[in-house]
Amino acid sequence: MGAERQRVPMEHGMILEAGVGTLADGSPAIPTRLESIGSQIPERILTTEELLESTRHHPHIELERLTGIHQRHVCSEGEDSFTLAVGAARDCLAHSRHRPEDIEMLINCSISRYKDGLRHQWEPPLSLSIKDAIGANKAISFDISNACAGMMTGVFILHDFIRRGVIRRGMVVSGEYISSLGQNAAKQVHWVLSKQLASLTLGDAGTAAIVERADSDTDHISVAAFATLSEHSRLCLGAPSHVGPGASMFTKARTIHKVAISESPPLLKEALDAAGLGFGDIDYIIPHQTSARAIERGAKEIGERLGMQAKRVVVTVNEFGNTSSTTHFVALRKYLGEKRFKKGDTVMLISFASGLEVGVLIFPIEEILDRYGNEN
Amino acid sequence: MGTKIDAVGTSRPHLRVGGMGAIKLADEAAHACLERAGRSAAELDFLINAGVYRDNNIGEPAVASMIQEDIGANPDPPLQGGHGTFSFDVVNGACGVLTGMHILDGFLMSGAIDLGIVVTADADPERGSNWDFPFGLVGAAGRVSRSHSRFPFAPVGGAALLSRSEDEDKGFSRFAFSTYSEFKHLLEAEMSWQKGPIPRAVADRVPGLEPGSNVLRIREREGYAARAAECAATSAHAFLESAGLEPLEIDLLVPSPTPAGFPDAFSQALGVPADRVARVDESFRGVHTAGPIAALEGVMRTGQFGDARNVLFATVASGITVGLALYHP
Repeated sequence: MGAERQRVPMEHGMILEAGVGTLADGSPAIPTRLESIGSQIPERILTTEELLESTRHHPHIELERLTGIHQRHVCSEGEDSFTLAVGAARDCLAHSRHRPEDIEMLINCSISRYKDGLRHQWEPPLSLSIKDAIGANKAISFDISNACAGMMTGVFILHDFIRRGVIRRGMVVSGEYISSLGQNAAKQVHWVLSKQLASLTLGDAGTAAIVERADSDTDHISVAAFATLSEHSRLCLGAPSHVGPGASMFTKARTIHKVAISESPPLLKEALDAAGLGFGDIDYIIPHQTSARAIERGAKEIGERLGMQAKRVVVTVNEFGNTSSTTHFVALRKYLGEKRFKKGDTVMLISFASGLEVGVLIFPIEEILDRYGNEN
Repeated sequence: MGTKIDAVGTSRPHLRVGGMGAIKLADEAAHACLERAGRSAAELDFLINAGVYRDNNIGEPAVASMIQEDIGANPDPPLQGGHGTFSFDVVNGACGVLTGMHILDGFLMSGAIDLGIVVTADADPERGSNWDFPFGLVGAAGRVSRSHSRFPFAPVGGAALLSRSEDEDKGFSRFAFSTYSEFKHLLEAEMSWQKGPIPRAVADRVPGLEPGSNVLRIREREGYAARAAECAATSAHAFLESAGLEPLEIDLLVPSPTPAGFPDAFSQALGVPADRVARVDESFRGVHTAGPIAALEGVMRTGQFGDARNVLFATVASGITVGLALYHP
């Protein structure tokens, strides 16, 4: 190996970009922020009780008690990943200062790419159809896939492009029509340790977020960071189903939860250190929404490992179920709409997704409140 | 300071029985690329997979995470300040590799990473059923998730290793992507449920199934290559004008090898002489997302790439999407 090739690997667990600082060439990075957030939630509600009644083998599973999930919203005729994504993008634009033609990059992050029902579109990428539907004619568009970390990964990519001055603003969007996984699981689940049990926790939702160049010293993303603990990459599998239309998912849910909680604290600390914050300084922790009990137990364990407990841990899974890549932004949109935040609050999104992906996004709640009728 | 391509690698099936799935092909391409560069997988900060057609049409997890584990790119948790790797998939048809390079270029230029790799592979989704998942029904799922007829793309893997050049005149200087959605019907791929018989082995194992299976359909319609060349030429003229270059100042054109006829039609429409076009040999006929890497591997081997001052990458994909990048070796 020649001298030019010798290299000491960077000593970090997370691939991390701070909100401010310098780029590789020494020039200052441009701060970025979440400008607006939108969602599209199907009207139809499916309760956990109704879903369990539909199971073929009628397993005696106390799913609501185990997960805290009382209900989820599911698509009706005419709704799918595409319509949810477009609806969310329009809701996002309705709360934005920007017009569709101002969007310079559009990234679709949904795992499910169903259009016209349960027709999964591999090519062209679904982002092209979404771009056309909302009129973002000038945007570079592509799809990414990173399991339930998709939306946060998309924000990470936009954050990078904006902080280098390549673009001024972009949109991340996702539509998850994943209730078919629950229907397919209902045909096969026999007992509480079924590898398809987690499919019964899923719900449908679309979300979108506009990330823009920030013109404030304080109102900007503090840190965006990700790492993939890929030795656990094969703990969850989603693929086209063999028992009916749509997909099926097989998960070692307890193992994923266990390794996520045991192995993520050093990574979370690395991101918090970069933001100059402690876990207890965050006003709202929004983790990936899998089960209310798992979230509460996990937050407590992580708090113990990090030496301080979280002030508030957001749980919306009881109302929406696990909506995959959209969960963090479903929660953000709900809290913005319900005026639950106040200016100056600090939010930390934490992603634990198949892969195993560990992602963090830390940012303050400032100007975005004004666009949701906040009077505080 | 720019992003430079350190090495590329390709792979093709060598297993006679059952062929090879996309994940295995991508693993082998990544190994070949890293070996050629004299780097180890543990040095990778970032891994992007750009393949579209993967083992059993997996939607979750990202295929990139499995490739990361397979090649040993820091799969275990960095306990105290160790070195981690981030991976995910990009899905942008045959422009995916260039999109992956665009994203890697960003994180290299921001200083967040030092070394990244774009890997890709496409293979008949029915071929890959050996992915070591600990779930009993997965094999059955693989057998009944089928392709509608002959899978139209050649099984090829590719990988490109990127790092930061300290010479500001070297490496990528600009990227551009454009779409022509009026032609999106010319290449489409979808998977949907088709009613039909259930294989007996599956029916016996899981009673009461809905008769049918999820079927992948890929349709390339007549006129795709010609329209792709027209769209690419329109975008490339504007791209070169914004870069202050004439077509004849392009020393080397690295186009998508497919659809068939695209390299010649595009180079003629743009006005780049035929002897400056990177081509793939017959063994790569029908390559999909790995096309630009296969073309690049050939001109890197002959020295044509290293001798060029201005290299234009031009990829086309369903959409019609055109990806362009200007590179200075």
